[in-house]
Amino acid sequence: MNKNKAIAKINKYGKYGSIITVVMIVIVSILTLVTLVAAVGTKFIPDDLFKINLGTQAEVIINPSAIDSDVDAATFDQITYAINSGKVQGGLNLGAVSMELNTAEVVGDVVVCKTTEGTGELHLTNVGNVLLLVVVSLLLTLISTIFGFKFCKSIEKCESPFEDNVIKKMRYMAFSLLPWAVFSSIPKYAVNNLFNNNLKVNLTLDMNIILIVLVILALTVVFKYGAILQQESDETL
Amino acid sequence: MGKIILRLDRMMADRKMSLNELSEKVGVSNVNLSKMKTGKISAIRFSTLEAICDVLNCQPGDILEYDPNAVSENNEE
Repeated sequence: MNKNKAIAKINKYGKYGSIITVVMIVIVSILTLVTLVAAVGTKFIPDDLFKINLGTQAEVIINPSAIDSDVDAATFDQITYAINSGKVQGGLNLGAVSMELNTAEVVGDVVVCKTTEGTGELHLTNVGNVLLLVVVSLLLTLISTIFGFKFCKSIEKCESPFEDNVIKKMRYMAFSLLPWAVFSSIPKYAVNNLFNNNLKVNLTLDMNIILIVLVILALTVVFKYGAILQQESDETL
Repeated sequence: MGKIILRLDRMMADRKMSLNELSEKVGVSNVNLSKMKTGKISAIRFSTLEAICDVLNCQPGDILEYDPNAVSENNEE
């Protein structure tokens, strides 16, 4: 592959990257705006205007034949009696909804334990808080995408990838990813906080993103060395 | 440390050769020859030096000169 073809290929990839990042910027901008309006909107609506109740039921089937040891009819009756009389405490917790086991009946050779209907409430305040977390997350995405776009644009226009401009944009892009190392857990907490009244976010350092940033920064150093060689080559006649 | 100074302009004046003429005969663009004349290059290939010496009918020492008192741009840092 000769030099001009290689440069043309690099420019072409830069162009594709620019198009993709522009589309991403538009989508993320619209999403950020809509989410921000929704988040602010929820703050102006009274919290008790409406709430969503979630309900569910569950069945737990105890099958003695699945156990290796023999369970005679009397023991089986005792288990059923214990559950029905409330001596056996148990329940299911599905995050938003918790259910208590309270009735049991023998169906064939298994005991079927039924739960009462568990309920969970979705408050408007929680939705607003979660939307704010989503806005922060989208803003970080937007910043990284803008720096990504600038990098792709510099690749698209460059006459050699070993230019100071390309290296500078690459370094900025790496640094723009750094906030993600701290805030990458936001989407997870956004979902977890949906049913909690208190907004709780534990920030943790995401080592994967730190590693990606370090790799990109290492590449910028390699490119910087390439730029020095390029300059030497350009100044040699 | 001193600096290598190119005396191409002096040799061209001695041989009464214009930049365009030398450019055509050596096969180096006159932009690059101009850079060479003004000392804005950091290295020169043997092939380029051979071509210039051939056209100007001179030795490399006639074109290149070492000035121990001049400061090289590479050592300014």
